[in-house]
Amino acid sequence: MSETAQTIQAEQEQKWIQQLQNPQTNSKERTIAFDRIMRLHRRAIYSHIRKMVIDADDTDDLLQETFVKVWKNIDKFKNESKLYTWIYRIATNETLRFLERKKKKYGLQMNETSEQLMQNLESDEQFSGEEVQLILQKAILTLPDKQRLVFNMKYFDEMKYEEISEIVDTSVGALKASYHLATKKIEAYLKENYQ
Amino acid sequence: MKLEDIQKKQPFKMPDEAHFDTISSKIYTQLEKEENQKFDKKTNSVSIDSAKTKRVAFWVKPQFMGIAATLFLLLVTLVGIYKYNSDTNSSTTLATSTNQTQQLDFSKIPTEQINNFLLDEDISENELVSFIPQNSSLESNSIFEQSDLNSIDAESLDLMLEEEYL
Repeated sequence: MSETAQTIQAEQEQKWIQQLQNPQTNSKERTIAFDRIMRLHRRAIYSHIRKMVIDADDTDDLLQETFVKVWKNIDKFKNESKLYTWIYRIATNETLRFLERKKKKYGLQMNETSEQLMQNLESDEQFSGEEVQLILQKAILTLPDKQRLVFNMKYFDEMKYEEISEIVDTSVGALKASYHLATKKIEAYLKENYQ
Repeated sequence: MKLEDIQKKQPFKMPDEAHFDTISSKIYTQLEKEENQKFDKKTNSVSIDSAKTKRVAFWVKPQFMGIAATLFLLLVTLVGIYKYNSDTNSSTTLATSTNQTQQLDFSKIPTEQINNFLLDEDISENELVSFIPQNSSLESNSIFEQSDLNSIDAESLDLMLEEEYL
């Protein structure tokens, strides 16, 4: 997207936020503004959640929860960060909570969770079927949840460390170290499992 | 193998717009449902509150009943204490008055009546002395004079004693 298009989009987004935050806006206008915001971000948020939970149905549920929370808490958005960073943050928190609940519910250890996610990945029809991609995903699934989250945002979504820092509330230095460590682990896995 | 050697691409195919629209409609349904629940809750709480206000008068409320019961108990206790005090005072007065009635004025009793009483009853001299109240004029009575040993002269007394030991 060009810089001009980005600026126009940012201005429009700001207008929708104002409409949502203004108590005098009627319900129809509010719904339209919310729908525009949702349409703008839902694909990126979906992709973000999907890479973390793997399962398509769980992703749909979490995406729904995320936007319900956006609607409910839009008054608390202070415009100190970009809206998509704020939505990413909500989605990330929802996803991490979901994974934690799942582990507790089934009493799973980290490696067992990874194995379960790998099985889901292999049977997923929407997974881009190349072998190397599958092995890469398997390698990523061996990482702890937060490290996986950082790696996905940096590697696949190509976010800046500063943006990731806002989302996961961690210093840039710590994120760099985390990403470096994740890369090393993934490369070691690939070396071992891919000829 | 390095990460750079792998072609970077999103691992999952993105669902079509219709799929996202379905999720959007689910979101609106959920929001509407929650709004309705919130509204129902508010309505219920308002109706319950008004029903409570209508039905329960303040004197039936437990707080008021508790305070009333405490005050009643306090009142009963105070009345009890007051009654006990006044009873004690009256019984003291009664006892005092009874004591006063027991102090008989023998001067007002005719001498003949006392004489008859003393003669009829088997009373020893000691008992008689203890029986006679102070300030009594009984000592001056004739019956006492007759039995008074002080009035017997020494000779007669010796004779009496001799006769006794014989």
